[in-house]
Amino acid sequence: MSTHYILGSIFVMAFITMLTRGLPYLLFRHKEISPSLQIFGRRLPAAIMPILVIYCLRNITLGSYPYGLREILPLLLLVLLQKWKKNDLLSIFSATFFYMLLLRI
Amino acid sequence: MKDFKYALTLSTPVLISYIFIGLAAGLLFHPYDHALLYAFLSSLLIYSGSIQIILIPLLMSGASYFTLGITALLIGSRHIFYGFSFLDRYPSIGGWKFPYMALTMTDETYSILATLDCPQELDQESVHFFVLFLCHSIWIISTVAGAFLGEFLPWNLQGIDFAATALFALIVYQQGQISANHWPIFIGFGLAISFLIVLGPDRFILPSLLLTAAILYPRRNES
Repeated sequence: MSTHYILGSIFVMAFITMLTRGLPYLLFRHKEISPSLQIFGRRLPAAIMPILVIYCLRNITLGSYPYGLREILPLLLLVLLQKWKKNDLLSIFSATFFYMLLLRI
Repeated sequence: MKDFKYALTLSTPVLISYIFIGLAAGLLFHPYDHALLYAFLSSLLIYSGSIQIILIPLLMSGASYFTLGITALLIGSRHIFYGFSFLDRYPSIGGWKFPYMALTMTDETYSILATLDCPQELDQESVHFFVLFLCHSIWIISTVAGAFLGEFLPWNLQGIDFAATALFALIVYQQGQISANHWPIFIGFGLAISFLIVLGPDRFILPSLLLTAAILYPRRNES
């Protein structure tokens, strides 16, 4: 692989990624932000977060061994720990550690 | 200084997971000449784990620039929706900070910042800026370190990316606790799961986001 090709590829992907991130601003930056658009922007996060969760879990198989338990059990631990200790870091990394452990047994 | 400290506390879960995911992503460049340069540039400019990790297999297969561009567009299409939550705030920030903040929004920083209820005494803009800057910096440093260390990395990091899943799930849980209105959460889950079943894991995210956006956009009588 030539250096040119690799650098070119990085720049192409960088350009497209920047375009996706910048698009709403390119479209609406100089326009009056309507109240509808403002409400829309505030409502989006609550609906996008569950979609991202499913995106992360998209490759699990529920129908056969291990029935998605490697992901579901750590997420249960996450919620229980958060209820109990209310410490974000502790919940996130205990769940991650538990997941890594389950991957290895 | 208070803004920075608050931003650091907010970002800590993301910073820790970026260190490990970044090391793993940088590792992929290790076998090539100029690995450090590639890791640095891709993290500085692309700054998306999912795209950077697929970059190497695509390069190995000799993919055309067109294929690379389409792949980045399909994987990164979800980023289009993030800007809408900051449209009323970021463009008024002058100078280079506005494009920098717009272009460094990732899944993880979005999940922190879009749901953030910033304390009154702090400057919201600088908190946002520091969160974005810290996460971007640690990502660059970790991928370059990964490209440098290569197989000398002492640990097997497989599964560390679950930290992102846990972060998103935690935020859904917290959103569920604080808001009286749960229907955006149900719409998100419902549509994502339905499209996942119908279209499969590689194609479900964009239709899920589009339909969610169409449903959430206020009707005339609501605004």
